[in-house]
Amino acid sequence: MTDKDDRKFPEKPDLGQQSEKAEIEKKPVHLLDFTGNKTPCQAGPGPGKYSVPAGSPLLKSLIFGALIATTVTVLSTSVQRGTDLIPYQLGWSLFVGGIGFAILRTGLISRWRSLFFILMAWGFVLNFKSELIGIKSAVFACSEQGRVPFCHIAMASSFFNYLYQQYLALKSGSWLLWGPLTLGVLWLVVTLSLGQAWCSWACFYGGLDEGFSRVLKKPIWAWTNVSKKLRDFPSALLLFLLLVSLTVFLPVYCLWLCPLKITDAFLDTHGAVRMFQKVFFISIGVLAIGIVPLLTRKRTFCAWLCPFGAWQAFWGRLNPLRVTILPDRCVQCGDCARVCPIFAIEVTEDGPKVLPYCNRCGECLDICARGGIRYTLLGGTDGSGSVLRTVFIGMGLVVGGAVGGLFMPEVFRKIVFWIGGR
Amino acid sequence: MIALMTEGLGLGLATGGYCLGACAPMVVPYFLSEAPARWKDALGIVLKFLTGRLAAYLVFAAAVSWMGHRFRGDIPLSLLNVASVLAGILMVGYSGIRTFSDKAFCRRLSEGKSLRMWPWAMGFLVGINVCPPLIAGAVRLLELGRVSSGILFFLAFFVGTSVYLLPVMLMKPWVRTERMMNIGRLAGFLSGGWFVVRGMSAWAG
Repeated sequence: MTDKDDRKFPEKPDLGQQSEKAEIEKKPVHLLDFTGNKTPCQAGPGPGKYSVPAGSPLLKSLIFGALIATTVTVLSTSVQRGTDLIPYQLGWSLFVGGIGFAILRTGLISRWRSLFFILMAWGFVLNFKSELIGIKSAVFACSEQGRVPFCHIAMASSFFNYLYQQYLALKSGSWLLWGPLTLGVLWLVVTLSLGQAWCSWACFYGGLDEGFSRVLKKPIWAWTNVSKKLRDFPSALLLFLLLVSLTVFLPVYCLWLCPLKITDAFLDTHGAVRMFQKVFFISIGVLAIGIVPLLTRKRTFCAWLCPFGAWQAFWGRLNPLRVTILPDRCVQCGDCARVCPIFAIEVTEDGPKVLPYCNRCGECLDICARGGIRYTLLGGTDGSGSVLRTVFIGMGLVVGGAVGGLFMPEVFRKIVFWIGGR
Repeated sequence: MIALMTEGLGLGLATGGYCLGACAPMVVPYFLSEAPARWKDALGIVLKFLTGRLAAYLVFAAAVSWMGHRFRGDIPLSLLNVASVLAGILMVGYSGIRTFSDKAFCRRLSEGKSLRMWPWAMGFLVGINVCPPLIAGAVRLLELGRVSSGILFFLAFFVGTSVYLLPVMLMKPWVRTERMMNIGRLAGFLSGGWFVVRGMSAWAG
């Protein structure tokens, strides 16, 4: 929302009138689809009356994209050095910068973000997880790859051990031993800069179910309503998993539920238990990452089963950025709740309400024909939405681009190798 | 007598951390979902829970000491797995009643006097569950072979282990929000189910 857009509201329309509500309902704007050539103003009830954030000027968008590409290049080349990787790192940075340009130029956040997000997730699976497939009982040391892959989420289950390691590392006085500590600091940086937005801008798994949720233009199964009592299930699951993992001293989530391991090397040694675990995690994966997102256009795994998502929903409050629905512009059409991929908008009698699980993905901002949803600081309804929006998108793409910079250049190199043989 | 009680207290203090770990999947969701506003009410629930747990310890101590005296042999641990299954069922039922308290049937149960008995029952069934500290205590009971000594030993053992549980149980007025209570109830469903599965699989061998 720009200041210019704000001037398009010289008089607040009487939002309580049924005729207006009916008009909005008759003309839903489906900007979330990849297919649409419609712009928000063309599809909406008219630019003079309602509007969504317009695209930025070409020069501004170009500068924005270039800044993002430069920052991602600096971060990416600092972490992974090697002259043979530089062309691919530049390629990745240009792609991220291009996404930034497209978002600013078109004014559509989620459409372009999801392209970046989905590509990153499948790139991660291709590069990292593919190395685990078929390597039974050797997950922590893949000699043929010369690497030591580990599961990031599995670290959470050995949290106390991790803390003790950090204590020993700090006591040693050698910063070279502080590697895992750096991960903790990185998590803090990400949480302070993005908060819960990690789940839609930088998570290297989230794009999997988002990818499936974007296949169909319209949901076959319109799953929109969720009981308020059940919406806290991910937090309950996180609490349960922490407590049970403490009880049995095992990473219960990784052993039983995580479909993202895409290997059976983590599982129990007992044959029958192993078979049961395999059936369980494959079923969860197929249903929650594939089939249900495909049918419902909802990110089922991220919304209900990811304990890290619940963790971020808790700590993400440290980040002051919020998605806020402006009451004076809301006609309670329910479009935002309908398109929210993670059920983070609750429809109440007082209007829609954004829940702590919001990933700041931008889907609701794109769909709202009246521009009634903004990125704000701590939920305030004043201030410059435009500046905040640009800063947030920049941060999201830089952090996501830096995370992707750890593996996407390698993915590009592999693809070039497979296609060109060099 | 003092030596025996000191030994029981020492064993409780030494193993209580694990005791908390073993009971936490039940205790934490339960106390999150039961969050009275007043400290007095909160303390009442804690005392009921501890009384139930104490009763479990004393019954266990008396039974095992008696068996040690009579048979000097095995403890029927399968009975303790039954307690695990029952505790799980109780937790699932409790969470269901609390979560769906707007439904007529659940409201009746929720407002009835029977729910006031819940902390006792929960404390008893959680207290009698199989966990390494309890087994360690049971081994000593078998050696003692006298019911009175066994009860004294387990009384002190109960005090030692309760030290670890008290902070968890007394935190509830601080976390009394509708959302936290909701999370506790949903986690209670999962924990209850897990206790049922764990008890049944242990029972089946």
